[in-house]
Amino acid sequence: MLEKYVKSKGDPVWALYEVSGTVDSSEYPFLATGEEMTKHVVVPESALNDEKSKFLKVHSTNLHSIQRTNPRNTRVYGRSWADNDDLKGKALPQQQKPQKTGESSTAEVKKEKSAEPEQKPCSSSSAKSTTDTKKSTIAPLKKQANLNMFTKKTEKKVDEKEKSVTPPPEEKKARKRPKVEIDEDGPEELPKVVKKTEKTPEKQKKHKKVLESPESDGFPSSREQTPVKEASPPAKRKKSGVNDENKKTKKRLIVTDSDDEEVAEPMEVDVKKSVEKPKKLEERRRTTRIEKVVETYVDEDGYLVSKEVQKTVDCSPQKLSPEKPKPKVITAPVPGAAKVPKKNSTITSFFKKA
Amino acid sequence: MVTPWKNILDYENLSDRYVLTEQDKKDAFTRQYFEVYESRVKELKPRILENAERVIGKGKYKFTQLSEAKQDEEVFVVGVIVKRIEARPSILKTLLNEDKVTYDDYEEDDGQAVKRYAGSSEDRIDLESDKQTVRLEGAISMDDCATGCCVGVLGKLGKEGTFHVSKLVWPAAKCAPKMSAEGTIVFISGLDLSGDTEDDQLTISGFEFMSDWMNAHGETQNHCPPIDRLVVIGPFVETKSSGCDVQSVVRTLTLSRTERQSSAKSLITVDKLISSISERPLVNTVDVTPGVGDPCSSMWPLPPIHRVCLPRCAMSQKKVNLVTNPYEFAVNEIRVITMSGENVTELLRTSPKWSGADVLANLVKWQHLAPNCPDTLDGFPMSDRDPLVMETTPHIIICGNQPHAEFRRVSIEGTDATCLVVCLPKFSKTRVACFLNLADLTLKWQNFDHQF
Repeated sequence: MLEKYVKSKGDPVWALYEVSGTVDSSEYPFLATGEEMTKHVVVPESALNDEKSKFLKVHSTNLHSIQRTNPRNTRVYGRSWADNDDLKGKALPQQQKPQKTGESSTAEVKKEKSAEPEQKPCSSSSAKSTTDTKKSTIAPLKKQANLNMFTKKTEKKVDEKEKSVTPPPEEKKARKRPKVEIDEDGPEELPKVVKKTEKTPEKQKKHKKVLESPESDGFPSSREQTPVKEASPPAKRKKSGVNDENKKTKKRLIVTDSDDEEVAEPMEVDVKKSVEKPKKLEERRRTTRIEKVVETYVDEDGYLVSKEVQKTVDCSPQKLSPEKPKPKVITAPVPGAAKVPKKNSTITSFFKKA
Repeated sequence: MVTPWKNILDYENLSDRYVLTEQDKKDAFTRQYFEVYESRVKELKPRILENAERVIGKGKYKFTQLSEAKQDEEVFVVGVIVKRIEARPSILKTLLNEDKVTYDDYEEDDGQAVKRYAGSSEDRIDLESDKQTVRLEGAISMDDCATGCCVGVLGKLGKEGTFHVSKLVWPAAKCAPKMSAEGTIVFISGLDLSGDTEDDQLTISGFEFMSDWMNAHGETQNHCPPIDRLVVIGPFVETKSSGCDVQSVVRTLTLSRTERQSSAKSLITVDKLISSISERPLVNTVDVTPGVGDPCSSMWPLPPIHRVCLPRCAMSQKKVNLVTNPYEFAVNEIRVITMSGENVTELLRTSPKWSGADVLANLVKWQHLAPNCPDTLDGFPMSDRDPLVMETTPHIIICGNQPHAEFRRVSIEGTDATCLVVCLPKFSKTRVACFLNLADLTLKWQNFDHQF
């Protein structure tokens, strides 16, 4: 039946035939003379008769496969049907082409859609565009999204406020820092938000003030990312129980800039949540750290000696003042315990005496 | 709806002796290879003496140690043959001469023929016993034996320190009774997948074509009979050299990252191919036996490939059987031994006249599957036993990865039984499979190819 179907259809239906038969050993150098080999071969219709002539005895000729789909996508035993010699000079079936073009067009449309948000950041400056870009754009923007994970809520709330308070879009485009405008317009609304939420919005206020510059864009930039980093406590801090003081020193160096602000602000003790978190931060900071301190002192012989010593220093918010220069510790000898240093207790003093 | 073929033959795996035991592994690193020869002589000596009574006559010879043999006195001694071939590559010669030409000669020529050592007038045969070594002359030639063969020699010790041989006595063969069964077993060897799709296309397509044909349901004369068992002999992963010399070992240790990745890809392909054919209803069981270069130890006897390397095959444990190399099994008490062929390839180098079937016939005569192990074939150092000694001569011996496809019925000395020896060519080069009919032990070579 299938053979009749193939014959009735003709083009564009193509067929492969399987021929089985006995072949002489002369075709196979590894086979001893006189031996017979049963060969099974799949050939296209055009080569069927030639192949049959090579057999000593043909046992069977069967229809192996019929190809009706796009030959380029059709593979038989790993080989594309489009490489078939029968197809040379023949037109491919058109039925499948529109499907493919439709599929390709949908793919292209999807690509266009994905490409569009990439263009948006250049044109608009709203936070909505940033969220859109985060959803459907390339990796660098996603990284920004991850960094902004802890500030998403505030951004959304800012967005809501933007909706209520924001000026018309024309003014938006002219303004480079819409977030700053919101802060200026609604100072009464924000404290509630600040009190309930973490300190991160407060941090954002100040950082935004710092970052107000004519050169800055309204989109997340590398500058804006750093304060977010500082504001958001990384997960590792919570998980790590190892008192690795060196690591903590590094971390504290990052956090100290914001600590002054936090120290100045949390005077409003009314809000428990806002106080709990600085307390937690303080508790984290109430740990020792190793500092290399240069000590200079006068020894028994009257020599001024300076040594670099590692000392453990208790860190606390009160004590932390990285802006203040660390004074050199000069340990004076205890009276009675050691010789009193002489006035002329220098190396050169000995030469002078002599 | 194709009804699955149900196996009606009784299958028994007889490869327990090829599996390394804890006793074998204990202190293996400190063991020396002379212990292997000692255990070999210990196992075969009684059989040689048994055969000597039949060949020479009971009471007509004097069995003694070589060290106790007197000059011009006819004695019967038992020892191990050592073939001294001048052209054989030697690492010492290579280091002295700083010349690696010998290894170039060692390589195969396009895989179609095995390079043989050039004969020399200085070649000789020695007999080593536990205490002494003596040169053999007389009724013995280089084509009668191989290094590592355990033999009994009847002759006289000459003045020049040579032993004049009058008769050779090989170990007595123990044969299984003749049986027959209805069924077909298919053997293929040497898939040699490289991991590259273009290079492996013909091999994979041939394998898939064979799989389709084996599961075609039809009533024509040429349709495939129900397959009781498909035995796939390794190596599955392509190896650049014979795998038995220092060069290949060094190469294996210094594989580049791309080469390592390609071997992983080829293993994945093997896993897919074997699992796909095992899932076909008309193929009952697939036995997977490794070769040198596959992900298992390269020392004979080779252990089975671990199921971790072939996860899809491991999922269908009832249909895929991961077995040793050599692999011995019985179906309805018809005993079959399959080998990956490295032993035969190494033995072919020692003689310009031998063919694969000749070597297999000699193995039956010598009653040892690989006498050249551990001399030129890597073997595990064992002290208490030699697993490669042929305890029971099988009905069929299949050797894979040979340059020529041949088969022969070998008569077993001292019995009326015969042994069918078959040499399989590599599937990666020929796309040829061997279909064995168990009823009359007839073979059919089947080639699967496509030309489009």
